[in-house]
Amino acid sequence: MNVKIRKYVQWYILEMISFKNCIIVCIVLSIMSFGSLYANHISSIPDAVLYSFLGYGNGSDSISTMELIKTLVVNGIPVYIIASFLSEENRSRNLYVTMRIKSRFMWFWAMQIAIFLFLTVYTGFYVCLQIVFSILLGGGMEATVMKEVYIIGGTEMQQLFMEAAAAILLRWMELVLWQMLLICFYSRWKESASAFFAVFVLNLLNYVTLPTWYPIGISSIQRFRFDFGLSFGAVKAGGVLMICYLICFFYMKLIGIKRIFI
Amino acid sequence: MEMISLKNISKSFKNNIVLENIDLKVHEGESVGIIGHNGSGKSVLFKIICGMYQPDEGEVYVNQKKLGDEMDFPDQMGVFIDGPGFVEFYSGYRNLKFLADIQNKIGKEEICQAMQMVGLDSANKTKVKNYSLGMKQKLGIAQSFMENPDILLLDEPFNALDSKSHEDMIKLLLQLKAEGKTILLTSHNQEDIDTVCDKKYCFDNHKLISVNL
Repeated sequence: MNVKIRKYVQWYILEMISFKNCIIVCIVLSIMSFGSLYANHISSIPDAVLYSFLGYGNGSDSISTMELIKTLVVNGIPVYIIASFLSEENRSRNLYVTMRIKSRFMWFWAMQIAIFLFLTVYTGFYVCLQIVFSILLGGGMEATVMKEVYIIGGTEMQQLFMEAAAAILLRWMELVLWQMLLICFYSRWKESASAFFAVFVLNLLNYVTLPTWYPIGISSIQRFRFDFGLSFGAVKAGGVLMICYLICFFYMKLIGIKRIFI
Repeated sequence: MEMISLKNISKSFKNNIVLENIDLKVHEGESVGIIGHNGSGKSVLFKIICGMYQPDEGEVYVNQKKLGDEMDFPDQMGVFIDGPGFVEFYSGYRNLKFLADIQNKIGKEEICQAMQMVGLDSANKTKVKNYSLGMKQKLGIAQSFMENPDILLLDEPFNALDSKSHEDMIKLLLQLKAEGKTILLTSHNQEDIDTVCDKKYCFDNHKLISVNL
């Protein structure tokens, strides 16, 4: 990364991750994580991680409203932070920096790098919280609840961790897509609150049974696999998310960035 | 040589016309002042010149290069618009160093000199969030010229300055003018414009009208 981009990314991170935002993230995620694990009697590490990242399902018959709300809150926090950051950006706070970087695409690319980093740290922190709270609640390594609830029967520990890693990675990728959709909507409406709301509405569409490749909520694919033994795997889901991200990226490159600077 | 050339610029926001058929030419070394009441479109015009907004109609040339086609943001232009936007928990010097590192054209010496020229102490470790409005204003002005740009766009640089600082700022602008900088300046105060500028324009009904000094 050259100096310009590195400094620009640093600037964005400084703007995005304020002390106040960190406190909000810590409090809300802690309450959500502890409450959810405690209420569902989950005390082992694999159970906690899998349970937190399995998603909420698809279609009115199989969707879990509580899990949907939990996902909206957990995914909504970083997206809200990004939305308010976009709103601040619109008030020309970054004019001194933007003028120096000399390129609108660089402006966008640096923002993407900063958001990737932010979402990675956020997801990592959420995983750590699950581990810490599951240890506090008893902390074993046996995936007892998951074996009862989902069809994992006889799964080796290594396989279980692979599933957990896939669920975490898919959730991170979905978050990356959420923020990209947010920016696309923002470039269209120049209104971060509406863009934020639109991303939420896309989640609510999962109450209607949509094709399994519908990208918003696709990180629930792990839940489908455990619940119904669906063959649509994590790799395919990851592919769908990546293709959607790239479509949005090229939309931004060709049209969206210009619209933001209108 | 024309440093800034605006041809038939129009801009509106949601059917609210802000600028209408603006033509303006600023030559090398010239100081041009723009007067207008709040909301008259001064800041929008400046944001168009520095590439932050795109005009609905018309073309902007800076240093003979067309904005939007040949470049996104102009080279060699220092800008101060809309009040400062700094990292609040950094000191003034650290903020300027951060900005200077992006282009890596200048070092500590030039930054300290720029701060000194606006009356700020580079050794002062006070965080920007604890700066007074006037100090933030000065820091914003320092960042605009610290990298020695050919063109300066200064939107209301005298706001929030006390009378002594105001006087010093006038002297500073005259010094920059004497160094051959091209300056585009807005102010509510006609006297400031008359002192610093060679040409004066006034916003009237979304249009820019030339006014005799």
